[in-house]
Amino acid sequence: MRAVQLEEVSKRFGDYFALKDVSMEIEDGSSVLLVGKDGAGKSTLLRCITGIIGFEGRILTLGMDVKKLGREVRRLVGYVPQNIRYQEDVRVVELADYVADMKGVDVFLDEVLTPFGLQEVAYSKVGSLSSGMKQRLAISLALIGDPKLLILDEPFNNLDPMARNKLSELLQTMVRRGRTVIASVHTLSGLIHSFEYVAVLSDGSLVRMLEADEVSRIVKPIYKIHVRVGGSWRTYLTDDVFAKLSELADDGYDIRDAWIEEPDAEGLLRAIGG
Amino acid sequence: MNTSLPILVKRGLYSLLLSRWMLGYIAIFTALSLSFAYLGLLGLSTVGFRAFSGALAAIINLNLYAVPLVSIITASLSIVAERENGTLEFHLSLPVTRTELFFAKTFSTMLAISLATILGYGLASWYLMLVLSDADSIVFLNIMGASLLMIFSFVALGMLISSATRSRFTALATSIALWIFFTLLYEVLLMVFSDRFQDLGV
Repeated sequence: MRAVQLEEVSKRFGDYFALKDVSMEIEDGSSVLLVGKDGAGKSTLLRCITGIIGFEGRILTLGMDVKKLGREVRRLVGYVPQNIRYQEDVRVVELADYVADMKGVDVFLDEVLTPFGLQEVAYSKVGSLSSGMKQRLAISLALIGDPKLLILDEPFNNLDPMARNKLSELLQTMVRRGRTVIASVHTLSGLIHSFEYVAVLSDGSLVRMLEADEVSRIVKPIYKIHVRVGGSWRTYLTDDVFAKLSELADDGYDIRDAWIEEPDAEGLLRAIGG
Repeated sequence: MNTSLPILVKRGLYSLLLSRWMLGYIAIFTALSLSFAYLGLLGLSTVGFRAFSGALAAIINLNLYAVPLVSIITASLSIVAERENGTLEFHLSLPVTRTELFFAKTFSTMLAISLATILGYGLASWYLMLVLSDADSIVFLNIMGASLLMIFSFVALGMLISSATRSRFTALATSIALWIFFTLLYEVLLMVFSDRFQDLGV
């Protein structure tokens, strides 16, 4: 069975085509990473798959026609929108209760909040949470009801490295349990290895769908690291951030500060002719 | 039918009744209706007017202006504010249709303002009951019923504005313009035209 099937899906906002005749199939129990630059149509595609917005063409999600059964689809799907916002004066537990009620499931709040370390803020108001905590909350809420299909739009935004690892582990566990996972990213990070397939989108079209291992063969992610040595900043390009930082330290550089730019999808697009 | 409407209405009602706006409305409406009832009975009866008419006139005036204003503004901001804040996307990611969300917002706003208004009336009526005749009580209940109908109409109008506009500012400006039209201009226009028609023998 196919978890998602798109047939010539297009979405237009006025004169602008956000999606152009996209057709693709995602097998049940697989994990797919949607990669593309900002504005490639990733978020629009995910919103169409969940039936949040209308579109031209046909989408079957979990075997259901999204145009006719959008609400039923969203009952079985866990969806994390990009930069999600909640009513600020609501408590975390109230929000979890609300989502459980809407999905028609009974949940133990500990089960929902503990995996991402939110049990301590269970009775805090959502407005008092940091961006990273809000993102962790969004993922926790999407997992309520043990969804058959998990859709995450830029889920790694605002997450610290520990939470990123936790999310990668969780996604792999879900796939092992036969769940389907679709996530979108605009950067090519090491997270690609947590997925089986990579779908590359550009200007609203699906350029290619390939196995994640194939991506590693085609293009090696190049990170840009900015290092403050003494009073000035220097920039280096490397495929191994830790090795490069160790090398600089070994060379006697006094590194005061550093930040790392994740490689964007452009290299991959160039490599596959997108 | 499998619908999320009751959950959405319950949540909307809870959230509205606990909002500062609504608590303020309840406090002001109750205080004003009680004051009008008290002053109406106290002042006008001493100069020979029928006591209830005076209290009632003041409460009707309060209704004519305050109830439509609160109804139309609260309703007109309900959807557009969520769209602007970005919280609408969260609701839409759940098993709910846009139509259900619209009706849930409409019903919860109607219920919240109706409850707040009944509470305000309730306290005034409890006070007026001390002096009202049976006939007066019926008039009072009729006015209360008319107020509820006015709430439903203005909330419906506000919801229409909220779903059709893209910004809070536009929604607020449109709702205030409509409130001015219906509470001030409509009456004047009606009088002008009815006078004209009378002159023309219609």
